[in-house]
Amino acid sequence: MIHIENLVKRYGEVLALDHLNLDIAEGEIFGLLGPNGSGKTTAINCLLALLKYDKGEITVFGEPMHPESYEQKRQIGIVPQNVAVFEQMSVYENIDYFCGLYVKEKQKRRELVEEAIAFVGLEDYRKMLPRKLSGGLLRRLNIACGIAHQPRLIILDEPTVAVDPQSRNKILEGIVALNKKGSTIIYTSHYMEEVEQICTRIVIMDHGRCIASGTTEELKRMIKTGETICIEGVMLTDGQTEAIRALPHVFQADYAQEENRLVIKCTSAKHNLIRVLNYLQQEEVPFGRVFSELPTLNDVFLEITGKELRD
Amino acid sequence: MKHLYKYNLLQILRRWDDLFWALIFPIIMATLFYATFGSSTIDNMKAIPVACVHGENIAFETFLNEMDGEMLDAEWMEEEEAQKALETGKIDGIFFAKAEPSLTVSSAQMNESILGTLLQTYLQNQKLMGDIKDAHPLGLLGAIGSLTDYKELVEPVSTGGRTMDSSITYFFALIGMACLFGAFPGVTAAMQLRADQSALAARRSIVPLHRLHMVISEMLSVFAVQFVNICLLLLYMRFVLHISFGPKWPLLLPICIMGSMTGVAYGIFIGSLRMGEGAKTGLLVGSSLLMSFLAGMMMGNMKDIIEHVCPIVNRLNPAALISDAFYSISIYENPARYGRSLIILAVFTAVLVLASFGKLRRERYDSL
Repeated sequence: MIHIENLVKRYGEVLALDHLNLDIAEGEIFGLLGPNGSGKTTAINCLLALLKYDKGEITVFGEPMHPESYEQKRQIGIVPQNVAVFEQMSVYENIDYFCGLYVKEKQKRRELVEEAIAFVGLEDYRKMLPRKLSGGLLRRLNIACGIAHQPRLIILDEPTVAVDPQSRNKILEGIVALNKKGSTIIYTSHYMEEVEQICTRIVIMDHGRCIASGTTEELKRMIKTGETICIEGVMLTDGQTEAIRALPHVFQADYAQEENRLVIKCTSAKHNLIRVLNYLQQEEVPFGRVFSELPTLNDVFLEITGKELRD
Repeated sequence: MKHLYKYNLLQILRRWDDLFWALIFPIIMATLFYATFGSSTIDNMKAIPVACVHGENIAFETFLNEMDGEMLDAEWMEEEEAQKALETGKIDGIFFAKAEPSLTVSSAQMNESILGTLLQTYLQNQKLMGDIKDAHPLGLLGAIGSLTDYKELVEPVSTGGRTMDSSITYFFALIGMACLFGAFPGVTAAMQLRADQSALAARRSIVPLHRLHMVISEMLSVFAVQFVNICLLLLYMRFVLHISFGPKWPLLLPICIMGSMTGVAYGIFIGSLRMGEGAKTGLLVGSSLLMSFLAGMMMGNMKDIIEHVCPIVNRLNPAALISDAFYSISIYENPARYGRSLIILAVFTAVLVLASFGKLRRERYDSL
C-alpha cells in the first residue's frame, strides 16, 4: 500500500531522515515508534507531500505521491499531532467541514458525520465550541475530523499526547475498531506501551533511520534480554554480586548499594527467578520486594541504541 | 466550493476580534467624529469668516459686499486688526481692496482654497471686462451682467459643483481606513492557508482540493463580509449620523467594492508573508493607521499637505485613494479623478493578489 525508499530529508545541516525505507501493507496497524525528534512526523509529512525531501521515492496505493495526487489524498485521513480544528465552529460543524472536503453528497455526508460523532463518543457535545471541550474530548474531535470520511488509510500522529488515561484507552480502542472496519492505520508515538498494545507491526526509528522492524514479539526476540529481575531491600557483598553474575543465563547484574537494589538481566530461559532466589536463601541474604519483567520495547530500543526511548 | 464558501463565511462572522476591527471600530470612530464635528453635509455651507481691508478698488469692495452674507461672513476692518484676527483664527482670510486685489490666508485648508478661487474668478472676470471694453465696447453691458452673477459662477468653480463642511474629510478618511481594516480577516484567512503557519493550515493543505479553489473561496468570502461591513458603515453614517454624501451616492458603491477588495488583498498579502502572527498584526495595525493618518483621518488637511509636498504618496496610499474617490464624486464632481483612483486601487489589488497567490499556491514546504 505504501512504499518509501531511500528517503532523505535535511533541515539545513540536520539530517532528519537518513535513507528511510518503509513498506506498509493493506490492513495493518503500523506503528512508527521513536523518541521525539527521531523523524516520525517528518516522514509522515513527506508521505503526505507536504514537505519537500532531498532524495527518495514515495508511492501510496501504488502511485507516486505528489501535492496534486488528489485521488490518493481522497482516500487518506490524517489526525495531526496538534489539534487542528476551527475555534469558531461547533463539534458538528468542524467534522462536517472536513468530511465535506472529501464527500460531496449531502445525505451521505450527514450520515458519516453522525457515525464519526458516535464513534468518538461526542454525541452530547455536538453543538459545543472546541474551547469548551476538555483536552481528551478535543483530541477525540481531532480524530473525528480525520476519520469521518472513512478513509482507506488513516495516519494518526501521536494522537494521545497530553490525554488522560481514560480518554487514551477510548482512543486506542477506537483505532483498533477502525482497523477492523477495513482501514489501514499508521500510528506514530513515543509511548511504547500504546504501540505494543495495538500495532500489528512496528518500526523503531532513531536519528531518521529505521533501526528495527517487526511484530512486538519479533522485536523482543532480537535482543539478548529475555527477563529483567529486580530485587529491592537487599544487601550484598561484592563476592555475592559476582556469584549472581555467574549464574546460568544471567548476563548482567547491577547492584546499587545506596538503594539496596539489584537489577539482573537474563537471557530468555525458564526458572531464572527461582535460581536467583535460591542463591539468596542459600547465602541467607534477606531481601524485600521482588519482581520480574519480560522485555519491553524500551529494552529493545535501549539495547539497540544504548539509550532510553524517553530520553 | 459552495461548502467551503459557506463555512468560510461562518468562521469570519464568528471571529469577533476581526469583526471588531473591520466593523465595530470604524462605527465607534464615526460616532466619535460625529460627537466632535456634528453632522457633516455636502449640500449646505457656512459663510466663510473673512476680513476686508479698504483700499482704492471700489469695484472689488462692491464685489465683496455682494458676497457678504451667503458665501462670506465679511467684516471691514483695519489691516492691523485684520492680521490679528487672522493670527487668532477668528477669520480664514483677509481681502485687500487695493488696485490689485489680494488675499492673505494662514493655511491651505478647504475654506482658504475657496477664498483663493473666489479672488481668481474676480480677477479673471475683471481682465475679461477690460478686454471686452477694448475690443467690443458694445458687449460691456453683458459683461457687467456677468459680474452680478459672481455667486453662481464662484460657487461651482470653487468646490467642484457642491459646497461642503470640511469635517467630511474625516469621515471620508475613516471609510478609507475601514476598507483597509478588511485586511484583518484577510490576514487570518491567509494564515489558514499556509501549512507552515498552523496545524490547522497544514491539515487543510492535504485535502483533495485544488489549491486555487481554497485560495479563491477564502478571498471571496472575506471580501463579501468586508463589503457588507463597509455598506453597513455607510448606512450608519447616512441614516443614523445623518451625514450626507451628496446626490450621487450610488457611485459610492464601486468605491466600497474596490476599497474592500484592496483592504482584503492587503491583509491576504501580509498573511501570506513568512513571519509570526504578532508581527503580522503589528505590521497591519501600524501600516493601516499610518495610511489613514496620511489620508487625513487624524488631521483634516494632511492629504492636502502631502498633495503639495509629495503627491506620489497620495497616488500610492490606498486610504488616500479611497478618500479621494469619495471626494471626486461627492464634492469635485470629477469623474476622471474618480476613475483614476479606482483604477489605481484595482492595479494595487491585482498586484497584491498575484503576489499573495504566488506565496499561497505553494503546496510543499521546506519545513513545517
